[in-house]
Amino acid sequence: MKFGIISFAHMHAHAYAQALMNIPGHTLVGIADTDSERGNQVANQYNTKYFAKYEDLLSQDIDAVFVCSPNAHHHEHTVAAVRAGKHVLCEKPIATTLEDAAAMVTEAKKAGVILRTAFPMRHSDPVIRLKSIVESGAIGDVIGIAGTNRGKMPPGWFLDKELAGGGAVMDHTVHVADLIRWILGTEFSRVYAEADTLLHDVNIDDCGMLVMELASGAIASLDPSWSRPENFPTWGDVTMEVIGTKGVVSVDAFNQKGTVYISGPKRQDIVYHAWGNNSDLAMIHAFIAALEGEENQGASGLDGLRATEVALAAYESIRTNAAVDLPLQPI
Amino acid sequence: MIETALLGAGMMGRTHSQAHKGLKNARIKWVFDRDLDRAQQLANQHDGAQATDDLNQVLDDPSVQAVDICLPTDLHKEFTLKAAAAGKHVFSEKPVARTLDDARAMITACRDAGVKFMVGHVLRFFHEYTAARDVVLSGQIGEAKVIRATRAGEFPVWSADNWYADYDRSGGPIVDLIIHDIDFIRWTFGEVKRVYARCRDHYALVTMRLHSGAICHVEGSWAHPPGTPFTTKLEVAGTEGLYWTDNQSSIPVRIMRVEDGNFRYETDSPFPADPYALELEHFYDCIINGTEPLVSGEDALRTLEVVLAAYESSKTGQPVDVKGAVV
Repeated sequence: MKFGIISFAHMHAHAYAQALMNIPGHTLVGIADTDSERGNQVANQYNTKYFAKYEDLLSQDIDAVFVCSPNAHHHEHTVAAVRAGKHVLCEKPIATTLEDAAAMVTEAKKAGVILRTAFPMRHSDPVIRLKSIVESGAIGDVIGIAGTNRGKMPPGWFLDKELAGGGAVMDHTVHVADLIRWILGTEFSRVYAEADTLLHDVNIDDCGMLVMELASGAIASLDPSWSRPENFPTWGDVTMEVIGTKGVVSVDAFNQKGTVYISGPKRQDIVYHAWGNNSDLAMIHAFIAALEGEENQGASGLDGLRATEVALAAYESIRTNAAVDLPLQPI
Repeated sequence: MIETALLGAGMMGRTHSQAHKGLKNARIKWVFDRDLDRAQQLANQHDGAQATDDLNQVLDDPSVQAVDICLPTDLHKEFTLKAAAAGKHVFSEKPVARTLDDARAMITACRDAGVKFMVGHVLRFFHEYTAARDVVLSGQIGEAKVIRATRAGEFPVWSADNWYADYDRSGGPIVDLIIHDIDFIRWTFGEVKRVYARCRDHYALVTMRLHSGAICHVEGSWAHPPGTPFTTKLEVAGTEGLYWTDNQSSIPVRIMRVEDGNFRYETDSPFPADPYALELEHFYDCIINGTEPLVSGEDALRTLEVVLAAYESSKTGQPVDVKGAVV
């Protein structure tokens, strides 16, 4: 298969490019980026062609593209790609508005191509194990889930509301919201959130807390805060504790790690060295398998929309200081 | 040496009985319980202590200076009022009462009787929590902005008449369990402005906004399966750093052995001192020295107000503003 990448604005583009390098039989035909310095540099790094305009990349003989532009541009890039007949794996959150997300889903369907949302945590081995334990009935019916997706403060456009669509809540709600929907096989019905700019000198929400309900009656909470200090031993976490009527199962998805102690003349650092499965690589494998006709557990465009809806409902809750009922918009 | 009466010989009564054994400033004179056998079992462990199922025997004994109330929450008011009227100093387990008005009546009765009144928010005496507070107050991690606390374990099946399961009496895990964390948060980070909570099948998820602007998440569970180790966690994200502690990963002693052919895995975490003993010793010191207890009735009233607001939110599904209750 032949692939293109639209924009390296999101650093996950590197993980996807590296995954392609590690999967034999596939080609990265080119990358498009409005930042020519970054574009030329990564084209050189991955031994591929640079296109200043994404339209020129889309006119190449490629099967699919990864869209890793700033969130607000996902809609434009994805719609153009699917209209050009390319399958798309779109970085999360799928869009910054429900209208954009719905249009992406509709256009992909119309074009008869596959649209997937980049939710690599569906491909994390510990998370998959947790899902199978829940589905086995070992903990009975699920009562509640307490989740976290905390991180360090990201740089650049992530802090620009126009481009990112929001701060920590937009950035870090969707992964675990998707996992909760996926694991429970039910939709969110209510969202309450607190969020604010409290930890960093930025003009966007950098911490928050969501408390939610699902149609099954289960309750859930999620901490999407950028609350890991700069020198935290790793980028952040994805954790869930699932409480059932007969038991509890928890996952700390990145806990398979070693600890590296680095000493130097002026400072001492502790860094985690992860050795668990590479969920980005597993997600790219699953995307390729889907292009080859295999049904698998990857997240659809609609899954991306539903997860984004939770983040948007959280912002609505923060604005109104009230719990917000879902769905915000019937699809 | 203060002569005291332990009122209630259930789980918490047994914990307090044990804590009294090492105290140098007080000793148990009476153990009261409606179940005389149960009271006798505890009284037997204290030299010179007597058991009774008649509260008047305790209240009529002029040598008794204080009572230690370890009874179900909805009985705290009745016993506090009777003890205060008899001129006894009152220590009451948390929650101070099931309603704000009951708490107010207890505070007023003790004030009018001129007796000390202290409420058992024992986390203020737990080393793990005072250590966290010390780090926060030292300024090492800057201003605290995101606070997460967890208190989780099995359902307390041991309660008399299963009163914990009756939320009209206990308030469930929000009012009875995570009241500990919410009191600690108030004590260390300041007053609560707004609270939102959901609770299902003895599992509670609470988020709070403090007047400082900080955002809190408090998880409370009586929904964990029987046998689950009691688990507590605390994380404080500040403007200049992060503090994290939890009672499971800090366990220093792990025992693996075989008993009757079955493998057993046990853990132990010996504390520098029994927090319950520190708490009670402080209460008796306040009586002896005429000083004010670390957890006053007014303080406990404010904590109760927050957990009742959370309880209300868990019923209505909407956030509740905390007004700042006064007596």
